[in-house]
Amino acid sequence: MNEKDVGRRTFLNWLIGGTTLASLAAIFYPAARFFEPQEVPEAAISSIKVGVIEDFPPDSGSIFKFGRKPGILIHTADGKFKAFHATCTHLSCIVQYRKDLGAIYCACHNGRFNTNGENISGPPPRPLEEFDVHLKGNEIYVSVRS
Amino acid sequence: MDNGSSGQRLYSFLNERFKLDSLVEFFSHKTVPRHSHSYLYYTGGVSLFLFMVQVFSGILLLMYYKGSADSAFESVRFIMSEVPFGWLIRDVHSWSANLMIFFAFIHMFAVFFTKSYRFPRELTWLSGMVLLFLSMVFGFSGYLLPWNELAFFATKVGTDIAGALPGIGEPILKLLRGSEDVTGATLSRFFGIHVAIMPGIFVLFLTMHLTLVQRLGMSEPLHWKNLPEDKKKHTPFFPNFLLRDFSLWLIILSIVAALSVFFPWELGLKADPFVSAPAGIKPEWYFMFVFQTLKYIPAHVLIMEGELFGILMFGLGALLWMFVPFFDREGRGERLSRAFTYAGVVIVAYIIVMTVLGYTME
Amino acid sequence: MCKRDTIVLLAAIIIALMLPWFAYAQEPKNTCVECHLQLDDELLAPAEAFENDVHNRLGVMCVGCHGGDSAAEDADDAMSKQMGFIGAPSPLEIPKLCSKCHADPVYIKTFNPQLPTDQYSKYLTSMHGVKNLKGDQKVAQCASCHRAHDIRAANDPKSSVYAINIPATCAHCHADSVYMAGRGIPTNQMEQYASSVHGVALLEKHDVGAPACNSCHGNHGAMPPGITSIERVCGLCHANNMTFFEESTHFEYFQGMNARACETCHSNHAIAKPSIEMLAGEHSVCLQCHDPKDGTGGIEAAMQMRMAIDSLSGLIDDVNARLDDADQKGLYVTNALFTLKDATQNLFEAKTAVHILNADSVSGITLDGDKLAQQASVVADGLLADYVVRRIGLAVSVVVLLFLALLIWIKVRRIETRQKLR
Repeated sequence: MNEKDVGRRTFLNWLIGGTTLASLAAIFYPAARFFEPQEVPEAAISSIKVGVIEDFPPDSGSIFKFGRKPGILIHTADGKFKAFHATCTHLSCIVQYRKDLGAIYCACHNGRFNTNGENISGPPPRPLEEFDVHLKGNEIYVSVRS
Repeated sequence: MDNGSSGQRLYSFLNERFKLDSLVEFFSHKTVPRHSHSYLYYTGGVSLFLFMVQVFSGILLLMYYKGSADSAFESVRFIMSEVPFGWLIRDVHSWSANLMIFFAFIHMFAVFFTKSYRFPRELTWLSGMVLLFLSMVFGFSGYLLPWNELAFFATKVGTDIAGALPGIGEPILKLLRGSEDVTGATLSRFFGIHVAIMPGIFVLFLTMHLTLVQRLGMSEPLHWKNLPEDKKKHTPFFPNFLLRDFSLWLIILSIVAALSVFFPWELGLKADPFVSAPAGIKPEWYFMFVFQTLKYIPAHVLIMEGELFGILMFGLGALLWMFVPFFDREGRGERLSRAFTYAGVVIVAYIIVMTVLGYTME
Repeated sequence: MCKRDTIVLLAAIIIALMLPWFAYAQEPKNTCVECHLQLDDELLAPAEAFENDVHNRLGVMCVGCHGGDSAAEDADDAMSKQMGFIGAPSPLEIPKLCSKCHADPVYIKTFNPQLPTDQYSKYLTSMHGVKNLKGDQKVAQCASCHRAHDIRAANDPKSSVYAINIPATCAHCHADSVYMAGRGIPTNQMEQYASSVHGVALLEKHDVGAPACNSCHGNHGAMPPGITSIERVCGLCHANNMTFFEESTHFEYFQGMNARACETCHSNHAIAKPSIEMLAGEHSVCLQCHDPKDGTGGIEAAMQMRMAIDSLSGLIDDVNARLDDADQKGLYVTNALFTLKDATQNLFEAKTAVHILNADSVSGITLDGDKLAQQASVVADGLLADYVVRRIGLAVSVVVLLFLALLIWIKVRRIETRQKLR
């Protein structure tokens, strides 16, 4: 083997080494990024923390996001916490709590639900789907009905 | 010791503790026959590589996949849409699964037509057949895991067929499904089968298969029987054949990556047991020829139900195929027994035609 | 056996033999139905229909309305005037006949305390009632809508006055131009209603929340809503539209002109899904009163509102189209679509706010909607960029992998050359 061959061989080896490293990077970079912990840690939501009791005065309601769906948390005048799917059962508009009515109201066609989620007036044909609400200390947790 | 390069010193260290010398001696003399059909030797390696890709991508998916009926679909959706490169890992896993089974079939037929199953390689053939069967179980169990509509109904149809067997059919169906119908219990079961039971059994048979291949070496082609020794060309296994193997594996990996980007896999709709099956439920392509054949069998053959007859026929066929090394006496004598070759051609043609019909006939 | 025992035994036997007769006598007889079931055509129909009647099930039989004797076997005895038989009542007699029970709260309470008893008094306020009192036999009375012999409760889906069936019941007369000839009112209401948003909702989609004729006109006191009350009637469901309109400048003008509020722009029966064309442009409903040069600035305000809504609507459509494209390309769009929903909700609010008839109010809302749509747009852009990034990433990786494959192959060749030389 002459010098030229040795030179070529060394060059080729270096090239192979370098390209091997690049290939390994191309394979392991996506894997590493995949492995990183995510901001949104979980896929299916079965329970979320909505907030603390102090943020929800009695006789009020507010909308929260439950996974991909809107929910409404009610703090009734007599102190109970209730949560429902905020999608009106008539034509799927988003409902709101009206203090002046003491009821859940849908602005689209004047549909009304009482604080048990039952449809009491207007076009809605069915009650609102309910969530379970748990209080841990002063924290409010909403989860899928078991 | 400071004699020799760092590589040699490392080897020395390991050799004293693993007793590597005899192994290295064995491998350094191992050769692979070189002839016009040597390229077929690579098909086994490609299947092995794709299995390794499956293990790697599968373990990554396990980081986020949830195997229960109310979160499986959502977890796959999460992987596809939120996790960086999640779409890539999932699509690689799906494509590589199909390619692995495809190449396993190619490998099997390559071995069949070259009669490499003949003495002393009968057990290699048997373990290989078991591996093919296990791959298809991997495929069937894995297909259900995204818990989408298509997978749900494909599983229902597939397990229904298993239930058609007399006597043992019902218990087998219940065992597979974990209950009467396809439910969350089925999903849990299939998940356990796919990530724990199957890998364990597969690795066992794979070890047996690879050990046999290494110990017995690559089978020589039939026409070498009458060739003088000096006319037989060989190539060293290490490093030549192995490097060529790696080179091919890189090409295969590129193909898998390209398929993942240009032909991504759909997720579809979440499984809903109360919805009626969408029209035209099909199994995966590697089951299609069985499925299509069952469609053509009349409702009753002699005294038994057509479906049962079909299953029994396939079962019998699989057994015969599996024990072909013991039937093909001529092959043992290193002679080409045309009957088996013709039978093989007919079977390959049948599988291809049935698979094509399964997709074109509505 | 002694004498006393014999007498007791005989008495017991006689009583036992008479027991069936007692039992038979307790069953209320309804010879009316028994006889009429044997007859044909118009005399058979009532008996057959009565099987399903709500009065039948509550024990109010034929004699409850027609009088007569339901126990008598003989036809003349059963249908005798002495027993109060009145035959088939005429249309003019029916309202009074039904109200004999149905306007008696004490009697009705014994059956159903919830059932109203004001139908007759309401009927007298309706056009039907007024004309009926004056002797018009063709005008609607109780049996016209409720039928005579298979009367079902209003919440029974087979009832002629069940929500979904009401339009057809009213149309029976009101869509019949021959029957309604000479009365001076149109007969196209059913046709118009059936093609309207409400008609489609009720009759095709079976949404019983949608209004039928009686929801706006009343059922017993049926009259078209008064001019001043139209927006209140529509406002029973469309509360926000009503509130906005009442707060708008147009409210007092409309009252002053005796204009029919909602109906002026939306029509009464043929209410179509509102389109932006109604607001501004050559098909604008404002042109009924306004002129671009009338100095009120009305047409200009309408134009402004339309532009605000159009721009938001256009933005939403654009983002939707890009998300569709991304979806076709295999990218995951569900999250982005969720963000876009909020913008769509906002568009909906803006369209309702049109009824304030103030351009600034509408723009205020659409501005928020624009921001939301922008957010969704950014997500859509990200997805489409991702599409390109994936392909570039693939190209780079594949080039590297294939290059390495080539290098290895070259290496092997060189090794083999050396091996041959050795």
